Amino acid sequence: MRHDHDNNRAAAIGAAPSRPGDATIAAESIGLPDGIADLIRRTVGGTRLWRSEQSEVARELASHFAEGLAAGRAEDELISAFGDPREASRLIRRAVKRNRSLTWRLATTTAKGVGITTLALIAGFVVLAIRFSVGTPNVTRNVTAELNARHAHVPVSERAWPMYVRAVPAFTRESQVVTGDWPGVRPGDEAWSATVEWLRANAATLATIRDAASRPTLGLDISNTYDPDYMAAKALAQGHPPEAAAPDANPTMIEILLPQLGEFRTFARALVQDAYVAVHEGDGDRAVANLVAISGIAAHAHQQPFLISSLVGIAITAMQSEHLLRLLDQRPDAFSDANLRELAHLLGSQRTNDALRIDYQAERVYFEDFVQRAFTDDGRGGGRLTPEGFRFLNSLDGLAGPDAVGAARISDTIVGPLLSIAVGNRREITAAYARLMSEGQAIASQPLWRTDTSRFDAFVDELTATPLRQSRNLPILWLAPTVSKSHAASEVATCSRDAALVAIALELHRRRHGEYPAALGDLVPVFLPAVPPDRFDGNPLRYALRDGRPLLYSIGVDGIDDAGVPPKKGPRGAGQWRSAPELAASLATPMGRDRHSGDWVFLPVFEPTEE
Amino acid sequence: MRLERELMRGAGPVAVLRLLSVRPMYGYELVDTLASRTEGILAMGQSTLYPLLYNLEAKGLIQAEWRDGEAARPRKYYSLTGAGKRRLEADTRQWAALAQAMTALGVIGPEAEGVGA
Repeated sequence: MRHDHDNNRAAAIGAAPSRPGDATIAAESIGLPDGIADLIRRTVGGTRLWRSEQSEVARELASHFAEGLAAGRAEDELISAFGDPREASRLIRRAVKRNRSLTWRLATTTAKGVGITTLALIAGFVVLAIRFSVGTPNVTRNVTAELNARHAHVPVSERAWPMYVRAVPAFTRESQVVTGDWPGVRPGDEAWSATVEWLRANAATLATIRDAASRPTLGLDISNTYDPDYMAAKALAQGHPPEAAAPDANPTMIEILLPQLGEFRTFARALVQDAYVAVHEGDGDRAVANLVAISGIAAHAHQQPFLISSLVGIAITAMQSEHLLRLLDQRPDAFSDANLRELAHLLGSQRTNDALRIDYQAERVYFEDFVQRAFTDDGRGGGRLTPEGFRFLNSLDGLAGPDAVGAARISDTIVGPLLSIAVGNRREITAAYARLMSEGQAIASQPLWRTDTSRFDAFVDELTATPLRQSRNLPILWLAPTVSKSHAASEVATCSRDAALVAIALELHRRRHGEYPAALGDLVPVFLPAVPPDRFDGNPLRYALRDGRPLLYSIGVDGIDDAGVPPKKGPRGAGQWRSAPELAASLATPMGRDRHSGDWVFLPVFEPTEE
Repeated sequence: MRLERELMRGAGPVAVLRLLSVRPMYGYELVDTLASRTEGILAMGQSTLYPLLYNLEAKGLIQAEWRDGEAARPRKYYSLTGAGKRRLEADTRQWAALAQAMTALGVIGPEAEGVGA
């Protein structure tokens, strides 16, 4: 209604209002000649100011022209003296806007700033997203083929893996009696007769495993799937074949299957059980053959240079030492002097072969394989994260991934391009990972009591110093192995091995001299090349005679000599390495003290039921 | 003679402030007075004057007030604020200094009589 009224008034003076503000302007121009009214309308309308502002300006200009006409000046003269109405509109608009409130001006400036920034960010993101989406990796290296080429010259007939595979069908559900978590059966145990029965029924299988373990080369071609023979063997063992992907000529390292590791643990447990049965049957030779085969299996585990392979190899070696101590304790008479010397030689050789060694070389190769699949390649070592790399990182962490739907998919669409600029370039992170692994290798060469992780820790701190650095090094932080725990696993296994060596030497001393020595130094050099150090403090392993029986122990993870008193929960917990903060936290609780406060006692042997 | 645009931009505001220091004036009166008192040298079209007035108002140097009854239409009078007075004093000193410097250089004053003749 208001507009209709204004337009009617404008029409009465001959103006032609076409915009909402025109009626207001026209109202101020009533009584002025058409030419002047039109000039005012064009000038004020051109300002595009708020209606109230236009009204004020129109009113003032109308007043101005009315004064001129009243002073006797002609319409044309006044119009001419006014100047360019478009220029006037522009200048008036600018000046009147300066009179607006500070709040309005601040809000306008802020809104403009936010708008411009938002547009700039959107434009930047679009460019980034396009750049990200067109990035493709250039896979030039086939790590699987490289690793398999190392044993390509060994004829299949001489390889251990096909022989191991022949043993697999025997390990059905019924074999659990010998491959449970804690081997170590004795006559009188509930499982004794079933164990003996299974072992007798599968004597040929154990012989096959021992034969396989004696072969120098494992000869397993790594792949993202299982070989047909293994599939068939597993199908016999468990009633159905394992699920497996279609073979890929150049699979990613994360897709590689390592079926041997699980089988090796099973085989080693079966051999340990057979060693127990053998010593209780007085068959030291068979017990030794089993223990020797366990070393062979551990060596085969190490032949594939993955950290997980090394750790399984070390765990199998540790199991061997632990059970050798127990076997010697239960039936030392089952072992001839020759048996003991062979075992001493076997354990001693672990110092020089790689049975207890952690090798990070393959971890570098593993990372390089990830990089070639996850980054573009500029031909000079550089490159940026690709969608494929992002999907891989997704699969490692909780990001939604390519199969995500809805909000999660949208989130990934945004995160991917952003991550591509946040993550360091190919050259930078490859070099950083290589250095990290180099620092990790330096730690692996140190004894536990002299382990200095300061350089490694300082480099990790450097990689994670700021959120920006953490983003740059995200793939490293997600893919790097836990160096300290791996090193500790190796060292703890070494300590267990050393204790087993001392136990053999003590038994040989007893046989020759009719009694145990007063000190470990008495074993050197006839029965022992040197007294081994306690890996937790570098001093010789602790030894004493209690009622004519040897007490042999390490001070354990808490670093305190408790005179051979183990933790309440048994000695094993004292041999479980913990970092300083983890240990402090554990010892602060009664349960932690019961596990870790005390000595790692090797002799006399504590039965696991006491733990 | 009309002043160059840049000179007018510097002289216009101080000229308006000076006129308003005597008494409040409305727009047409300011245009008329500027033209007559400066023999047209500082004459400015409305398209220049009103933006100039709005700018001075935005800076708080002048203030406006509508008055009815003096003519057929209400008039919008502009008067100097306290800040406007202080600015005028400062500008006056600067213009005096400028005039003195220009005189010393012979740009204005007796020595400039023959320049450009």
